[in-house]
Amino acid sequence: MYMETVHNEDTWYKLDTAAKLYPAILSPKQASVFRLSCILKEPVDPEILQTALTVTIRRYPSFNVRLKRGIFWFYFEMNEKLPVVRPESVYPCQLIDPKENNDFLFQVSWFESRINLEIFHGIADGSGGIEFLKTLVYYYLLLQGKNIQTLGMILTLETKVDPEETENSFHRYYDPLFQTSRAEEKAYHFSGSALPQHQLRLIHGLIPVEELLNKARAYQTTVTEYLTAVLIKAFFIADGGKGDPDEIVKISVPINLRKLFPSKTVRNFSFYVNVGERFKNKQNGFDSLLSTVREQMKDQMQKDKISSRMNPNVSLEKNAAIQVVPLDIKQALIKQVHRIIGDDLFTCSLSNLGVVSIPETMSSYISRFDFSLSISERIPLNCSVCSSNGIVSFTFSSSLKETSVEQAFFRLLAADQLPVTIESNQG
Amino acid sequence: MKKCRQCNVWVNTNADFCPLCNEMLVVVDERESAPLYPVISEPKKEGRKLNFLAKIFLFVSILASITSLVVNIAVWNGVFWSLPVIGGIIIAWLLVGLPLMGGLNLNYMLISQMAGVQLYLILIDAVFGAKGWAVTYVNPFLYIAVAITISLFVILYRVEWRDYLITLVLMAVIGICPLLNILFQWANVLWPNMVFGLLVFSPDKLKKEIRKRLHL
Ligand SMILES: [Zn+2]
Repeated sequence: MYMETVHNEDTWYKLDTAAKLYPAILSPKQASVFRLSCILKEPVDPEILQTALTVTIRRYPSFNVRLKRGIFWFYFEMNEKLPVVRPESVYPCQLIDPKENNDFLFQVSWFESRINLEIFHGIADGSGGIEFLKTLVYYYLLLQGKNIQTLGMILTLETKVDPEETENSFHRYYDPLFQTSRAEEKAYHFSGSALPQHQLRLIHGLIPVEELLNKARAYQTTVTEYLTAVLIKAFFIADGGKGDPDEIVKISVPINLRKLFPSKTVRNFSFYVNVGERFKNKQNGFDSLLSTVREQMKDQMQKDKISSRMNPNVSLEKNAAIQVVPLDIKQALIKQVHRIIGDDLFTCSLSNLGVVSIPETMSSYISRFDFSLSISERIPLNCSVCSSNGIVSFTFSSSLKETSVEQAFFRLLAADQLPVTIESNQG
Repeated sequence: MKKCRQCNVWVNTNADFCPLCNEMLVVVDERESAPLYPVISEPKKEGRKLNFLAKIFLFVSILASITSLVVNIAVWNGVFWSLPVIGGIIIAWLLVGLPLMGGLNLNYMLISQMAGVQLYLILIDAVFGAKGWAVTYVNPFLYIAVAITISLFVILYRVEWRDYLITLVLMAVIGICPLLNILFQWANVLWPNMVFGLLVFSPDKLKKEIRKRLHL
């Protein structure tokens, strides 16, 4: 029954719990768009890419939507138009204007041998988006006549759409009995001179996976804990001693909830923990910083704690009094709340997508995957990580002229005997 | 491939300076790297001319409004005729300005225009002492005019009918009922009855559309 309605023009979705935030805070300065790129070993053929996209969109009904205004909430309804690939011609992670994009909330572009998938966070998170990109690349290579197999690692039209893939998993794991406040101390904010609007500087850093894993092992930490500590230290250095000793540099680390609460959803299902250290403790050395990060991470990553921090979002959403507030007023309220428990609470994101797993037959045609985030007015710098084909790819996206955080971060890794290769979208 | 001695990193670029610290890079491998990102041209600034024109018109509109108000009060003849003049200028902005601005959903545009014209008619009614002719006779036609405009728009421009379905039905119902009322002097109960009937016997599509828009 459900299957028959998947591609029906009458199908519609409520925005998932996390997605409800994004239309409210949307502005050119806060696009809430992330980019997933796949760098192939040969230049992209746009016609084949278009055909691959036309096939792929049929497998992902929750991407095949347009955003509509209801009386009380936004909603997604089926988009009967076709998504169109275009050559990369603007800076990464800009606001997606549905009117110029056949109403779609994602965009596929290409440059030389790179395929970019840019997604408005309202329809999916990084883990959902990477599934789409993997399918797109799979069909692209297949249409090129390459001999590749899915080995069960790629969602294709042969594997039917599971209703679970389009569910709001926040609701499935909602427990009204466990709720705690998300209010916490405000964080230090990094600033500088702004680049012209519509510009975003990307600086990628590439490191062999094995080397990074060995480094984390040597410190007896996880890769994310190690990188978080290095990033905090980079802010200490970049700040140049101006910071108030009591201020706290906090890194927001997104958590893929699918790992804690099993779900196949390709929509949003992530949360975050904020991990930080005060300027006054920077003299204590890296090992102390690392153990602070490790402790906070271990404490906050407990399943119960995460669950009780994400439940309030769902209960707000289900609150009858809030539901009947007209959309525009609701949007203004969400915007205010976001200011208080969103951007104020962290300095910078460190989003680690983890390993992009692709079948071996495909990986010989692929150099690597990249993952980039957009920025906002309060958070002018973000860091994202993913690994593929034995390469860990870091991306700093920034709207500032200064490169001091990036410089400190990569110099710290290099000083730790890690071989770093830098690439940038400027110069 | 190049190297930055300050940062101790490799740099894959054709540029001469390190993206991290801006120091001169050391060439390790003479081969040109393929460009990694396209050169982005600056976005063109559009709509400036229109903005300038709009500013002139806005200035003239405000000037005309103030002048008429001042003259009206200075040479008082017992009728507040400047109010309809100022209202007329605002209506002109609603009718001409809104579509020119673009970007606004047709639904909202038509509804705000309709509301504006209605208020204007009531204002004329009040100022010139006519006894409610605007509300009774003109309003139904206004609703129907909006409904016809939307239908034409949907047919001519082949836009999504779903976007305008509810507005269309509402306009038609609100417009036609009072009109029938006038024509046949039917009882007032008819009005709510028809709305109810429409919801009960409405086609499936309309019901689905209403459910989507009203979901809680
Ligand atoms: Zn350098």
